[in-house]
This record gives sequence, structure tokens and C-alpha cells, in this order.
Amino acid sequence: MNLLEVRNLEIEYLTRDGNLKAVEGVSFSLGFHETLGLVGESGCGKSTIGLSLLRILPINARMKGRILYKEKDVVNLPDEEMRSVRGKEISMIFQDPMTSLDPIMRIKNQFFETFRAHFPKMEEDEMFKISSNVLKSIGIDPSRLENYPFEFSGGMRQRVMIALAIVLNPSLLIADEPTTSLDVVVQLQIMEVLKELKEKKDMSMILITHDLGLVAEIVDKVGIMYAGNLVEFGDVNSIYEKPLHPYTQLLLVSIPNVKLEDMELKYIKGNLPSLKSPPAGCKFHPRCPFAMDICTREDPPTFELNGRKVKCWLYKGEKDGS
Amino acid sequence: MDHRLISVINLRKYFPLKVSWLKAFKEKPYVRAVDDLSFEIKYGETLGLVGESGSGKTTVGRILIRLEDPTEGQIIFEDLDLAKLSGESLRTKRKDFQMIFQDPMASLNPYMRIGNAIEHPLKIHKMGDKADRKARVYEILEKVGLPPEEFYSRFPRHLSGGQRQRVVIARAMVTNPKFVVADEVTAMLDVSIRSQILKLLIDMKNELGLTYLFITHDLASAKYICDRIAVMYLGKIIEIAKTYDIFKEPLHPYTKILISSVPVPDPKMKKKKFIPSGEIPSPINIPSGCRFHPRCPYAMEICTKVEPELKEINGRTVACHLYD
Repeated sequence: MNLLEVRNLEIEYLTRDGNLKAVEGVSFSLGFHETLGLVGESGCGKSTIGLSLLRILPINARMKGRILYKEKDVVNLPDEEMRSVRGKEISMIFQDPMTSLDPIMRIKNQFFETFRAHFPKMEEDEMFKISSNVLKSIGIDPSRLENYPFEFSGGMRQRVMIALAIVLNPSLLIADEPTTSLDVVVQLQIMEVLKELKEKKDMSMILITHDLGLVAEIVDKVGIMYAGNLVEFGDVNSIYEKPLHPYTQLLLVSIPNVKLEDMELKYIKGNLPSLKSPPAGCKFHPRCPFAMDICTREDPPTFELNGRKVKCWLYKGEKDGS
Repeated sequence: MDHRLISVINLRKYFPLKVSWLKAFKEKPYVRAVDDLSFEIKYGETLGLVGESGSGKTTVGRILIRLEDPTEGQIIFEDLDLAKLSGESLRTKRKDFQMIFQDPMASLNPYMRIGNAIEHPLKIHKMGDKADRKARVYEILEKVGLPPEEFYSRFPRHLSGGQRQRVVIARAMVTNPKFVVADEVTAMLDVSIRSQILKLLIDMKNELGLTYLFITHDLASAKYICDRIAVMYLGKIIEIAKTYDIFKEPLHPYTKILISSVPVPDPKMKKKKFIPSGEIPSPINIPSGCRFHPRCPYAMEICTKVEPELKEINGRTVACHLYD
């Protein structure tokens, strides 16, 4: 049994100018104590998938397909049961810690609120004790439970957010761009915190990010998304060593690096497609250097190769082991 | 005249803080955003200004093009002290220096067509007649890779982030400036678009013979475009060097940290990184001695007391007691 099984997930946003396909037929699975990096650029649907796992999508979203969490179907779970999963079994941290914390509530009370939602009878002493321990484990002095969010720096706020998310020992933590609004050095500190969590806790994680470099050393599996599609999925080492999809290949070489022997600037031509009027066939074909005739007409299926998945016509008919 | 375009001499910018007058009677608190900065930029050079938020790098950019008045110091642009200019003489000079900002949507008027937005600076500086101006806008649109027939009459909302940034670049270049300040121009863009815009800036520079001040927090992007890089920390330059030297052998501990904090897309690179504790302190209470000493892994006793000066040691320029 896997912790999470996503099958043929489709998510549409209903808008005044017609329907917007944010996620198209995405399938993947996540095992216990596994970390997945969901990587893609804006509009690729990575955050939408994150929200759908907790069923907190905006009201104009329509979801189809199956999301099995410990064999329970999240898509059709009654609201009551979903509430007991949310925050306790699956929890989430967001990009901007200031907008996710209540500005006029002491940190302490934000922890207590979390406890009360799931354990209404818990004593305040116990809540205080657990919160202190979690804060300490993440590098914040427990005395700061009495502080308000504005008294923390950006990096510290994100630590508080992480502490809040893991205080009930969830089985799955979803982190949506947890370091994007932070400075480079602080970003590294937060990644260290997440890495430690991964090693110490019995918890699976989904890291949603646009930065292929950032997740490389922490995740076990990587899913690359482009315009609502999961274009490549597999084990982290094989993806970074031998990327299959042309988009992954180009993305990897176009990341600016600090190596001195690498002074030539490489880039992907063209722009990201609009979700309102996506190109026909493969969504990446207008920017793809290997585009063939079939790519402009038909959307490629997902091919399996040595346990990896790739959604590209180049791999049609390739046998396992090649 | 030598080949310096801009010399900045002892530049300071202090923002006064609002406090009750009783407190202000004792001592006036300031945010010391830029604290005694001196550097120069040569003709045709790209100088990178790198640092975390709160280091004062954007304030320096804004002062150089006089969007902000310096508290003290000189900005010698060719033969003129920009810090002393005001009114009409400053306004006419403005066509020589331009700025490109981080957020292209916020720097474009949503109700102005792309063509008009780019033409606007030409009108302000009364350059050419209507036909000349339109021809110039067409020419510059072509240069930034936006086909003029298609884009001239569009509105910003019809464009993607990368295209908008191209428009902003076109608008900055349309008056044929000598000097352009690019402030975090790629920070808001998607990864696959970022390198495109960097490439465009490099091409424009080579074609138009520009001089850039490239402000960024991302050392990796700076590597591709800058000739020299100055690293700022809490209002001071702590190291300045040729791009090659700074990546080959960073001297200041803070520069080392910045370089090692660039993520490497390789799961096998599980090297122990050099991560300092804590975050950049507030520029209101600047630490005594070396500003970086509370976070520095090599801090010695002298660092807590004496502020190191930026000086030349073996052909390199750095402000750190380790190299005394």
C-alpha cells in the first residue's frame, strides 16, 4: 500500500472566459517516508495539485479522478471526515509565512487553535508542552510562544509555520514554495530544517517548487510539470543524471550556476503557453528542439521506461532496458 | 579624461526614523541604508551589486539615477556631479540614465498601449517628431524581440511576464541612455524565461554600447553578465573584484557564504554547506566593529571592535581583518 495514490487527476477552473484546464490526467504515487519534489514553472498546476490533496481548492475549481490517501478517496470523502484529515494527517505550509499566520494572535494561541480543532479535550499545559518541544526542535526558543508574528524575522516566521504544520505529527507534509519569499542564505537554513525533519520524522513530504536545484539534495522522487501535465516522473538520481523529457533536459542546463568553466548562457526559447488557448498536441512542442510532426497533432501518452515515466513521443516504442 | 563613466565618492543615505520628539532630543535614530560607499564604473562595463534584502543595494541604484537624494557624497557622471543637479538641468540629463525594475507589471501603466508606453520617454525629452518617434519605437521593439506589428497596439495584460520585461527594457533603452540600472530584473520571472532576459540585456549592451549597474541577490545570474561584482552587506561594500576572481577565490567570509548558498542541481552533491546562523540585522542597530561579525564563522576579537576598511591587498579589494 502506498501512502498516496493519485490517479488521472483532472482539475478545471471555471472562469468567465471559459474553462481553464489546470491539471490534466496526472497520476503518481508516494510511499511512506518518501519525499517527492513537484517541479514546474508558474501555471503548470503544481500548486493546484497541492491544494487538491487537502481539498482546499478555490470554489470555481472542478476536480475529477482519484486521490487515495491511505486507501481513502479524498475526492469523495464526506466533509466531516475530510476535516479530521486536514491539519492532522496531511498538513501544508505556504510561500508567504506572514499571510498564513494570524497577525493579531500570539504564536501560542495559534498552536492551541490547531490542537483544539482535533483534540477538544486536551489540557492547556499539555498543549504548551508539546508546542514548546516542537519549536525547540526547529531552532526557536520556546519562550517566543508568547510573541506575535510581527516580532519574528522572515526566516523565523517560516520556522513557526513549519512547527505549526508538524505539531500533530502528520503523515504527509506539503510545502508549497516554502523558501521563495526568503533571502538566499535564509532559504538554505530552511532547507536544512526540512532535511532534518525528513531524517528524523516518520513523515512523507511533497515539496512544490520552481527550483530544480533547490530540491536536488532532499527529495527521493521528482515529478516535472509543464502546462498542467506531469511530463516526467522518476527517481531523483536518474532524472538529474539522464533527464528524458526535452523540457527537463533544457531546464537543467538553463539554470544559472556558479561554475567558472560554464560561462555560456543557455535558455529555452519561446514563452510559457497560455492555459486558455494551449497549443494542440504536445503542450511543449512550440518550444521543443526535437518536435516532430506527430507532436503538433497528438498529445503524447505517458510511456514507462525502466520504472520512469515520460510523456513524450520520442520514447514511443522504446523497450525497457534500452 | 580617463575612461570612468561614474565615480561614486563617500556616498551616504540615512533615512530618519519617526520617534517622539523627547527621544529625538537625546539621539536621532536613522536607518543607515548606505554608509560611506565609494566605487567607480567604467565605460561599457557591467558592475554587479550583490547582497541580501536590506543590504542597501536598491537604494544605491535609486540614488545613482537620482530617484533618491543622497544624504552625503558625490556622484560624478562624466564631468557632472549628479548629486548637485536639480530641476531642469537634472531633467534634461535624465535621458542619459535609466532604470529597469523588478516587477514589469507594476512599472507599466495597464491602460497604456505598449507602443505609447515606449514612446513616452521620447515625448518627455522632446526627441523627434511623431513619425520619427514611431519609427524609433518600431526599431527598439524589433531589437528586444517583440515583432512591432503584433505588439505595438497591445496592452500589458495581453503579455506574459517575460514579454512585459522586454517592453520595460525597450522603454529604458529608447532614449539611447549611456547608463542603465537593472534592479532584480529576473527575480519575478520563471526559470525558463530568466536566462532569455539576461541574454537580451547582454545583447543590448553590446549593440548599444551601454554601461550597466546590475543589482541582484542571485550571484549565479550575475556571473553571466557582470564584468566586476561588488558584494554589499548592511550598507557597505565588503568585497569588490573581477567576476572571475570572485568565483575562483572569494575572500570575504560573507562572499563565500553567498556563493555556496547557490543551489546545485545535482543530488550527489551532498557537501556540507557553509551556513551562517541568524539573519541580516536591522540597519537601525548596526553591530559594532565589522558589521558581519555576529554571523561570521571566523570572527576574531578585533572584529567586534574595529570596523575593517575596504582596501587593496595583493590586487584584490576586500574589507576583512582576516587579510590584515
